[in-house]
This record gives sequence, structure tokens and C-alpha cells, in this order.
Amino acid sequence: MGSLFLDSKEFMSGRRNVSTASLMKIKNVHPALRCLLTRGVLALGWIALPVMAVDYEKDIKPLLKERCYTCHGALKQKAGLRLDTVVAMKTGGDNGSILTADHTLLLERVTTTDKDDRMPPEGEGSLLTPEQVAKLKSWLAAGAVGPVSELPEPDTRAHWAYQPPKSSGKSMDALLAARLASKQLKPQPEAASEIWLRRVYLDLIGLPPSSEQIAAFLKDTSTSARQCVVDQLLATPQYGERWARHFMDIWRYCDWYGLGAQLRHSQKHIWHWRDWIVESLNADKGYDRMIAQMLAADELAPEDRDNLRATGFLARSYYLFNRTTWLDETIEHTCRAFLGLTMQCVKCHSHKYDPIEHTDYYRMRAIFEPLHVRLDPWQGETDFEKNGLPRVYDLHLDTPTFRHVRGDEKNEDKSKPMTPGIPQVLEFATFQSATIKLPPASAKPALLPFVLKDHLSAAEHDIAAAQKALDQARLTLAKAPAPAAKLVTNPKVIFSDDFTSAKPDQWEMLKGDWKHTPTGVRQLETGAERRSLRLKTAASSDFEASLSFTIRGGHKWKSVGIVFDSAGGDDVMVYISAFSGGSKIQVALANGGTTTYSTTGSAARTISQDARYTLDLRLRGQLINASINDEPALAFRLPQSRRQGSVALTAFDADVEFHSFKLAELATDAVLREPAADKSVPLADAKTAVTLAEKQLAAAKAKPAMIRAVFVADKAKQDKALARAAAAAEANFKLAQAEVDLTKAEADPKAKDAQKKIKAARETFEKAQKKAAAPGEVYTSLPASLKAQEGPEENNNGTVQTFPDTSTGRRLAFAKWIADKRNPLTARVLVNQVWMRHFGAPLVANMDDFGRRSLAPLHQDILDTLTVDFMNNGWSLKQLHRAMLLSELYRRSSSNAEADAATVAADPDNANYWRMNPRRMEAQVVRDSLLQIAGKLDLTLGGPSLDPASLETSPRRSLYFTQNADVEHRFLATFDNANVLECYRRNESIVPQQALALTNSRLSRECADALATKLGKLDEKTFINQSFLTVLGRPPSEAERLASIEGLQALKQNRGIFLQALINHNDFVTLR
Amino acid sequence: MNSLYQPTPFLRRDILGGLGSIAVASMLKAEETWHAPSGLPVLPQKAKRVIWLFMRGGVSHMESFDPKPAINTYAGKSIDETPYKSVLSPEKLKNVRVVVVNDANGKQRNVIYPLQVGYKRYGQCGIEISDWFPHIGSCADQIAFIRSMWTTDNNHGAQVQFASGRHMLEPRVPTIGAWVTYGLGSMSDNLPAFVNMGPRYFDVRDGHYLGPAFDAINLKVDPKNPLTFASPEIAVGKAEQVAQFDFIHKLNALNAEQYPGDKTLAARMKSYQLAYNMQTAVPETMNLDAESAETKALYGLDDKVTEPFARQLIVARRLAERGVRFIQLQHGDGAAGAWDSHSGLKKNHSMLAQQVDKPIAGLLKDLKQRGMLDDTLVVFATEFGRTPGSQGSDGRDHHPYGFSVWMAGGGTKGGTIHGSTDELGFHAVEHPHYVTDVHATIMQLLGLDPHQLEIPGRKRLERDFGHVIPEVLA
Repeated sequence: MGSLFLDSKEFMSGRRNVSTASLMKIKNVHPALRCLLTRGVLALGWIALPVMAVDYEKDIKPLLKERCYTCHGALKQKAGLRLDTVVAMKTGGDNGSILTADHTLLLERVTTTDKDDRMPPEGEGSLLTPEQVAKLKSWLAAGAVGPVSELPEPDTRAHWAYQPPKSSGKSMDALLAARLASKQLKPQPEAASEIWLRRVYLDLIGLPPSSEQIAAFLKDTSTSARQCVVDQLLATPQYGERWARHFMDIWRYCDWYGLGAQLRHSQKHIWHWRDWIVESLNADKGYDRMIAQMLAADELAPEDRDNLRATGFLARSYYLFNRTTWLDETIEHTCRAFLGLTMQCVKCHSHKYDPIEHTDYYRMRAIFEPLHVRLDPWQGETDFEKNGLPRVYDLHLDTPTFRHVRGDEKNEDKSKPMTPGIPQVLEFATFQSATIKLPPASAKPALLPFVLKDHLSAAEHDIAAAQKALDQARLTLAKAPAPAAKLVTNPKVIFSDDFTSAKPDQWEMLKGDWKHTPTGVRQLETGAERRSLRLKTAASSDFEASLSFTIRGGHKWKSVGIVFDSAGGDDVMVYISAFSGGSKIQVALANGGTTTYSTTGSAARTISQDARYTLDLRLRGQLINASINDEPALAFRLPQSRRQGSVALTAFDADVEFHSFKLAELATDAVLREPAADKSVPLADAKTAVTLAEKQLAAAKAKPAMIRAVFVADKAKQDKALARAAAAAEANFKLAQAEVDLTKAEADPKAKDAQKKIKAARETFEKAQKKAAAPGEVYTSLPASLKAQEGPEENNNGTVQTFPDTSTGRRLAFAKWIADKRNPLTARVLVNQVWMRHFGAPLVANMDDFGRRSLAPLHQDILDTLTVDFMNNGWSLKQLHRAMLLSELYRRSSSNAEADAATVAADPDNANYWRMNPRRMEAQVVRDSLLQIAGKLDLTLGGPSLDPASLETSPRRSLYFTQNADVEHRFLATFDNANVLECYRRNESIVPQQALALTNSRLSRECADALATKLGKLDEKTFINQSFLTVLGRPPSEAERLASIEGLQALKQNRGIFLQALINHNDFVTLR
Repeated sequence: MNSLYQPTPFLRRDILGGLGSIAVASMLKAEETWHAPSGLPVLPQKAKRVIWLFMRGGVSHMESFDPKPAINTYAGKSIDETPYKSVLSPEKLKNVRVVVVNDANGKQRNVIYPLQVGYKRYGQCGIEISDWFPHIGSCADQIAFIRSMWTTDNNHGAQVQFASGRHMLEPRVPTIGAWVTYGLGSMSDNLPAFVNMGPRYFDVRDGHYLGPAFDAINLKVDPKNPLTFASPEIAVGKAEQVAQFDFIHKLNALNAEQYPGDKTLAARMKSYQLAYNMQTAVPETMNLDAESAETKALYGLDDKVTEPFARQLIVARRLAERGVRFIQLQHGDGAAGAWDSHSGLKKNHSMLAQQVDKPIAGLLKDLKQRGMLDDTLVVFATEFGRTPGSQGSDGRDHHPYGFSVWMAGGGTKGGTIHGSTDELGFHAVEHPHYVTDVHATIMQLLGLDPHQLEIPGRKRLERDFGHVIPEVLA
């Protein structure tokens, strides 16, 4: 039956025949049909089928509505045809009636295998199933009977949400009361005052009231008590934080993320936008203004840097790899968030439900086509890694927008560039954008007033640091150890050998391949094993030894040294190693079969192959001093007392030539260094460090002159003399910098690819010399902005410092259209968003789709009245909160207890708001409330995003932690944290992980224990009462009090664990 | 101790799923005809549970389950020099969507690289399998191989695509594990319905618009720390913990009197029961002390190389026994996934195959001997295959045009080869299957109809539903 199953590639392109699922259904319907199907016969319409009893309203109309109305209904009338009434079908379209008795075009078109004629057309949905065709046929066979007075689909433009909202002039409570009365529904009574109070606190500031605040409120019997609380809370900065989090959900707040250091999504320092949201809400800035600023602050008031932060809304969707993805997200979520408009459908084809054309999508794209992102400087900081202002601007002013055929970006319809615009159905005024002339600093951020000051102060800071480093280097040089002092007395020589002849009587050859050469004795065996010559003469207890040698080779370690106190397998060895992975001098202690390499007995030293070294050892008791070529290299105190043993010369994985060896008693007046004193830097290194520091200071000092000259030249624009001066100052600075780099490279000859680096540094230096001699008039502007990469391959984005001096004004026109009082959607969508957050269910179920699929809401009168009032109140959110929170509805109990049985039965889902809806607190509110009741919450406002790893230990509010698709906060995730990609409404899941998080997390237990401590030594009754008040915002019932007494007993009076149990009470995470 | 909070033997199904998503709940009002799935199969059910083995990075199909002698014949030649140069025609390559512009990987590799391993026939069916998978070979008669998979993402976003059917550049949708859990719910009162072990792919979630209740719960095989917040982070006595859970239950029960008919409260009380049980049941499942030496040896738990994956697979079987519905295991660490052999394919694949071959065969044999293979579906998958041509001197690049997966048990037909790639292993030519066809097949075996799981307002693409592959069904 292979032919019946789809070639997968075909369905990718939209063509689909009969699905297996529908076959399954058919199996149950008719065996004969199944038989035909399995033989691959598709032209089912012409096969005699048993006539079924079919009802038009039940079987046919829904089918036509689902599969045909999009093109042949109110939305569109392709071929002049409508199928939304039987009369219309009989009348027909351009091809005449489709229901004539002898030729039912309707049936023909849905059953034909001709690709050009089939309905629905290719790409517009799958063919009708055989079952559906059978039904159609039966209906036709029965005479295509329809209802007598069938109404066509209403005009799409008449959709409720496209009409301007009208105020009823009544309060929401009056409207609700009337509705309840008309349906004979009985509302629940008021909830207890303390429950109302907790609602208001959690709703407005996301934190529960303290027991004192509850007591004060209960005491206040004035009629304005509730109003006072609402006003007080709206005036706290925590209000802005709480509501910013809601809008951060809807507006998809997301910190930058990528791979390693590569920024792929969003922008660095996007938290400025978050702070702007918090501040704007606290200032009760009109929602219309907020929209305008988020979409077009750079065009609206380009010099208002404070509000440029708002454009983080657009910067957030930046996507390194694909501009279309970026703009698609921008269009989709701008429209869903502000307008409840599902534009994403229109990317590939005209809308299936709403009167929006495929081209409308690309007209909207044209609005955003010029858009790009950059970081502007943040006052007081010149390093963009540390801080900067992410903002948008128009960069590609002339880039045309083309329609992507079927949404395929590789298939652009170049025949007609799209003009910026908005869907006609919502065009209450002509969409018109006008080019905006930008102030100089918008085009050239280097001209911002604080940039010069910041760069100079950074330069001054660098000078001070360089000066300090130089002072330090000089001090180090002064302290560098002088070469070991010549001794006053001549030490008594015990043994001496210049290896000119073999002395088998003096040396015992332990291992190795030893050969005499003209310059000494050579050991040739390599490999990780010791080869030694043991001296037959014993050393004195305190001695000095001097060994001269040249390392000629070795596989890896290339270690050569002196062994002493060697007895019974134990010994001490001091050696130098030419290991390429890190040459050094090292003390190794062999004790009972293990060798330890002390880190304090080790110092890095440059040791090269084929260079002659003299290793001098001096031993006094446990103190060892070692020098290499007369320069002090190491001072070390042996951890154990000395023992008697022999002396040997040793090679370990080293081909080495020994030139001379001398052993003498240590002179009594010899001065040895203690280990602590040996932290000093070798003399030569100290000298190099001073030279480098001097050059660094010189470079730092050359910088302010460059900054000033460049700034002046930038500001003057086109002044050749100033440009020459700037170029000269820059060349001067770069020369000094090149000298620093060269010195650095030369000072580290052992670094990886050192010779290459030195060569490159020298070349750069020489080039800089030439440039300084003839600087010309081209200079680099101050790095006062960082343009976002336009793709992974762009690597010169950092050098771009000049941007267009005009903006298209398209976004501003778009923003004004969205935030216009005449726009029927914007304020309605907002009111619905706020309503859902206060009442637990939205008035319009689909928060982000107010299109034709959203039927007129039950409470449209309330929605529209609030909407009109909201706009008349200057789009003030605080006023909107007041209207909702001070309503009767908001006071209502959320319980079904003692509710009117008929009401419960008639409206079990509370569609009519006869009671309040209980709500589960959002993840952030759960965590913040825990910290708050424990008295731990840090109310510091704003600032850079915090390390998400510290979420469970930091006392800051939850909205401040880094949030993006790459990080998962295990505590917040458990409670349905916002999805950064899309979150118009939080989930309110109930899963066992939440129970585990609240019973087992360190956070919950520590907060419970802290609260126990905070409550102090109360008697049991008071303790229980205070516990309930603090954790649940209400006193315990009598039954709860008794259960608590028992509970405390079972918990052995552990009050921390008792409080943690209260934290696990359903009502702790619930707004009752 | 007379407490509610004693571990209970595992019971039937869980009621929490239905309350998982507010979005779904709100949709209910919008479209009255829609019903949440009942948790019961709507079609004859062959498999009750799924063990999903996903090799991250892209397993070379030619060096695993689809050996291609022709690439030995034409080794070193460019594809244009072979009789099969038409594989490179733009028409055949058009389905792939580029995610990372100018990526060094995910390109055509035109110089044929020979097979890096031999192969032989296994079992009565005589199916050819590479010498890197001898143990899986020994189970060939239980396995249905699909050698004709294709996908459209040429980068490792294809991991998300294999699980969800959607390309990396499209909005995220629920994964197959989430759909299955959504459709059938849990069979255990002690354990979550959907678990994940091993690393995850780019996407940390599964449920997406179905809600977090349908995300896989990440488990680690460490009995001491198998799950986030699995045990108190600040020590508390066992008796006190029981008393605390009892007290919480008491308080919530009292609250239920104040709020009669509050479904969320009832669900929360139930969630505490499950949470409490999980604290015991999850570590108990991870503890392999009770497993016999023979079983341990069967999976390769006694060998350092196979031990890590063997441990996960024994745990997978134990989870399956205890009623977990969908057990998702991912093998291969690293951002892209360890199987991603752009260079040193021979060394990489031989080593990784060794890590998984014996444990996977052990799982199949163990399930069979316990009579569980009949209703446990084991799926072996990877995001794409690897190019017949060489990348660098000794690697293969990403290859979405044709690759292999297999299924065993749970109503599949063992000893089957279905579909094929062309002679070079380039394109899936006979019975090509997009990744969601695997999903559709799994759903069918579980008794689910993907179309019936669709949620109003969350229109799925036709291809999201996939098409059952009848040839692999028993």
C-alpha cells in the first residue's frame, strides 16, 4: 500500500493526500471503502456509496466553515463565490452555480486529482477525507437541503474588536451586578478584610503584608482605609518592580546569551531596559508613551538618553545569525503584545481568519527593515563589556523590503518593493512616516557631552595605574637580591674534579652511559630514570657545592642536579630542569619510597638546552640556598632534620655534560637567605619590569593628547588641520603602545611562539614609527559605540563610529498608530492583561489574539468601559489598578462555601464573576515572599543582572537575576517561571516538584528558621497566631489552632519546621 | 507510625496532568467541543511505555546500521566521478534549511570517505550491521531498522527537531515525550510520568505550550542526589519529616472545608502525596544493590567503559517496571553531542559505540527475559547521519538527507529493514520518512491518535502529526 502513504517531501511542500489517521477512522465506517482505499483508488466521489442520513447544520456547515469559508465566506470571495449559505452556493460565483442537479461543481472540485482544480488548493490545506466527501455526497443526493432563513457570515470588518470601544458610563460593579441579576446568579459575600489586604499587597508589590500592617489595617475603620492602602502601595518603588515583571513576561525580557563570548541573542546590558520599565511604571508614565518610547525613542526624542533605554524592547530580539528571524520575532510579538493581532500567520499566506493580507506582513516588515542595534556609551564607563546602553537606530535606510513567497526568505518577489504600512482593516488614518533629522551625537556618539570626559578620566586612571606600577617595579628592583657576597674566609675544599680524567676511585657509577669528552664527562642515556655518579668521599654536615654542566638533550624533563643525604633510598635532590612545559629549579625529597616535589621548594627559571649553567648549593642545617650562575634562585628549609648520607650528581631524562664539581665545607661566616626573604624577583627580571613599566607610563601619558585631538577634530568635522593634529596624536600614541608591546614580547622569550610574536611586534613597531613620521589626516574616532554584528562573519563592527544622521521615522509613525486612542485594540488588550492579573481570568480568553477567532467576550461592556476610562485617564496604569482593586468584585470571597447551589450549578467556572478567582502566585512572588517573611529581602532597586547561580542564596528580588533561554533557575522553574521566548500568560501548574522545593530546599528551610528567630520567644498561642498572620496573612481558625498545637507536638516543638509546614500550606502560594 | 506519608505501592494514574496548563484550561472555554485527553488509549494499545535512546551529535548511518559498500569502491573519488553524481542535484538538496550562515560545518563533502569499519550479517534475518555494534547485532531479530530517515536542520538543532518535528528556527512545540505523557498520563503514584537522564539537547524543556507539567523531570543515577530537591538540603529527621508532611496535609484538609470544590487545592494535596513518595521511590529506583550479578554483567555494569550507560539503562528498566511512561535517555556530552565526528570518526565512533552497544543489547535482552519487551517500546535515534564524503582527513560532516534509526519491542516487527538510502548512503530514496513519522508510529503503538491530542488555538502543522510506518509494526 506504499502509494497511499505520503512521500514526506510532498507534505513539506503542502501537498497531502489521505492521512493514516483518517484511514483508521474509515476502517470503522465501511469495509468496501477500506478495500478501495487500500488499492489506492482516490477518486471516491464517483464511487457509489450508501447514502447516509446527513444533517446540513450538524454535518455539512461545520465542514465547509472549517475548510472553505476562509476563501469563500465573509473574509474572501474567491471566484466570486461564497459557501456560507446554501442559497449562496446555489447562486454560485464566476462559474455559475456549484449545486446544479446535473453537475455538482462542489463535489467535483473536492474530489478531483487534478492539482490545478483541487479544493482546497495545494498549500491551503489537505484534501477532504473520504468520510467528509461521503457526507457531502449524501447531502447532495438528498437534495442539498438547507435552513430557510440562513444568515451569511457577518462582514469581517464588523468584528467586535475592530470597533472603537464605547463606555457604558456605568461602573464595572454595576455592570456585573446587572448581569448576575439577569441570570439569577447570586454573588458570594466579601472575603475577610485581611484576605483583601493580602490580595492587594501581592497584586501591587508582590510581597505579603506584615502582621503589623495587617493589624493597622484592621484597626482603621475609616471609609478611606482601602483607598489609602492602595495609594500607599502604588507609591512604593516595589510596585514598579512587581508590575515590571508582568510586562517583562509580555515583552519577553531576556538577557543576552550566545556561545561563550559570542553574543547571539538579545544584547549585553539589556537590564537598562528593565530598569526603565520599573521607573516608568513607578512614575505612572502613560502606557501610550511607554509604547512610543519602546518602539521609537530614538526618533521621538533622540537626545533623551534616559528613554533610549526603552528601545531594549526591540534590541532584545536581535539575533546574530538571521535577520529575518529577528524581524519575524519583532513583528509577531509587537503585534501580539500591544494589539492582540496574530501577524505571524500572515508571514506565509493571507490570514485564515482575519482580514489581513500576506502583503500586510511585509508592509510591516518594511517599517522595521532599516532597524539595527548598537551599544551607546554609558556615562562613567568606556568599556562596553562593563556597561553600555543597548539601543536601536535606523541603519539600512534604503534597503527595500520584498515579499517572501510563501514565507520563504530565499524566494523574494522582487517585482514590487513593499511600502511601509499597517493592515487596512485597522487603518483609521493614513499611515505616514516622515524622515527625521537626528542631532549630531545620534550619528556620532563620540560627540556625546560626557564621552570626552569619560575617556580622559579613564586615560588619567590608566596614567595613575601605570605610574603606580612603575613605582612598584622600581621598589622591586631595589629589593632584588644582589649577587651572593664573596666570602671572607676561604671554605675548606673537600673534593674537586674538573672531569679531565676518569676517577673511578673517587666516583661510583650507579647507572647511565657515561663517556669522557674533551670538555668533561657526558651522560648519554635519556628516559625517566635517574643516572648518577656517587661521590665516594663523604660531605661535611654543612657544605657548599658547585656543579657546572650543559644539558645537551633529553625527551622531556631534562633534569640535572645534586643529590645529598642519600642513604637507604631516601635522599634530597636539588635540580634544574629544562622541561619545555616550564623550566625550573626544584627541591625533591625522597622518603620511604615516595618523592615529594614541594611547591615552596620550586621556582620557575629560564633554563635552556646547550647553555652552560653553574648550580651552587649551600647547606646549613635544614636551610638550603641555591644559585644559578651566581644569581640567587631558591631558599628552602627542609621539613625534616638532616641525616647522614652520600653526595651524587644526577641526570634524569637528560643528556648532560658535566664540566666541573666542587664540594667544600660551608664557611662559618657565609650568609644564607631564609625562604621568606626569597620572594624577590631576580635582578634581570626586575630590570625588565621597570623598563616595561616606564614604556607603559609613556604610552598612557600619550593618550589624553590623542583623545583631545580626536574629539576636537570629530566635533569640528571636515577641518583638515585638526584632522592632521588628531592623526599625529593618534600615531604618537600608537607608537608608544607598539613600543610597549615589543618590550613585552621581548621580555618573554620563552612564551609560546615567542620568536613569531617578537617579530610581529617589531614589524608593528616599525610601521608605527613610519606612521608617526608621516601621520596624514586619517584618524580613528573615540570608541564611543559598539555596533552589533550584522552576521557572524562581520568582524569590523567595532570600528564603525558614524551612523546615519537621519532616521526613516517609520517606527515612530507605527508607534503613534498603535498608541492612538482611535486604535480599537491597544488599550483593550492592555486592560485585558491587567484584568487577568487582578482577577485570575481574562475577559478575552486569548490574551494575544483579539482577531475573529475571539468571539465577543461575555463582559465586553466592562472591558470597553474600563478601556475608555483608561485612555481618558491618560493611559494611567495606576488609575486602572485603582478602578479594579477598589471594586466590589475584588472584595468578594473566592470560596464556594455556602454558595447558592443554583449559581454553582449554572456557572461552575465562574464566568460571571459571582466570586473571586483564587490564583497561584508566580514563581518570583513565591521566592520574594519567602525572603520577605523571613525578614531577609534586600530591597535595593535596579542595576546589572545578577548571576543566576546566586538566586537561592542572594536576598535580592527575583526580577534582577539573569534570565534567558540558556539558564534555568531550578527554584523559579519549578513554579512556572516565564518562558523568555513567549509568555502572555503564566502557567499555574501543580506538580510534586513544587512540594519538594518548598519542603526540601535550603531556601525554604532557612527562611522558616529565620522567621522562627524573628518571631522570638512567644508563648504557644501567640506564636501560632503570629505564624499564621505572617505566613498566610490571616489568623488561624479554631480548628487550625488545635491542629497546630498537635503539629508542634509531633514536630517536637521545632518551630522552624512548623513554620516551614505553613509555607507549604496551599494558601501560602495562593492569592485567596 | 500511622501516617499518610508512608511510601505506598504504585497505583494507577495521576490526576495532575489535566491541571497542568492554564493555557489549555482557558482554551476550553473558547472551544466547547474540545476535550482534554482522558488518559486512556483510543486505539488498540501495543506498548505501554517508551524507552527513548538518543545519541547526541549524529551517528554515522553507514558505519552503524546502513553499511554502504559503494563508498569503499569509490573511496577518494569525488561524488561527481561516481555513477551517482545526481545525488548533488539542487532539487534533491533543497529541503535543508541553513541555521548558521557560513558555518564551517553542515556543508557538502564531496570526496568519498570509505567505511571505517567492517560489517556482517546478524540473526536469522541476516541484517547487516557494523562491527562496532556486535551486541546490538545479536538482537537484530528483535529490531526494526528504518534506513530512510531525513530531516531539514543541518545543525544540531536537529536534536530538537527529532524530538518535536519542528526546525530550530521555528517556534518550539512539545516533544514526543510530552505528547505521550499528555495523552496517557502516569502509571505510577510514586514516580513522575516522564523522565530524562543524561545530558539534554539545546532545548531544556519538553512541554512548551502543554505546560511545565509535561516537561521531563531530570533524574541522575546517583541514589544520593537523583533529583532536584529530592531530599532535604538541610538535614531533618525522618520522623520529623513525616510529621511535617502529615501536618501539611492536615492544614490543607482543614482549608478544603473553607474552600469546598477547589480543584487546585485537591491537586496540591495530591502533589504532596506524590512528592513524598518520590523522595523514597526515586532513590530506591537508582539503587542497584538488588540487581543480580548476571543482570549487571548483561548490561556491562562490571566494565569501566560500559558502566555509565549501563547504569542508566538498568535504571531505565527499573523505571519502566515501576510505571514511568516515557524514559528519555540521551547519550553524548558536549554542546553539540559527543557523536559529532567532524574529525577522527573512527576513534570517536568506535569508542562511543563501545560505551552503548552492550548496555543497549543488555536492555533488550533483559526486557525480553522479563517479558517486558512486548509492551515496552525501545527507540534508538540520532539527529542526522554523517556525510559519505570526508571532512578534513578523517571525519564526516552533518548529513540530514538520509540516516537510520531503529525500534524494538512494543508491537514492532523484529528483524525488519524498512526503507533505504541510495548506493552512497546519501538520500533516503525508498520510503523516505520525516522525523514525525517515528512519532506517529510510537503514538499508534501506544494507542494514541495524534490528531485527537491537538489543542485549540495551538494549530499544529500537518507534518507535526507524521504518518505511521506500517511496515515496522508486528
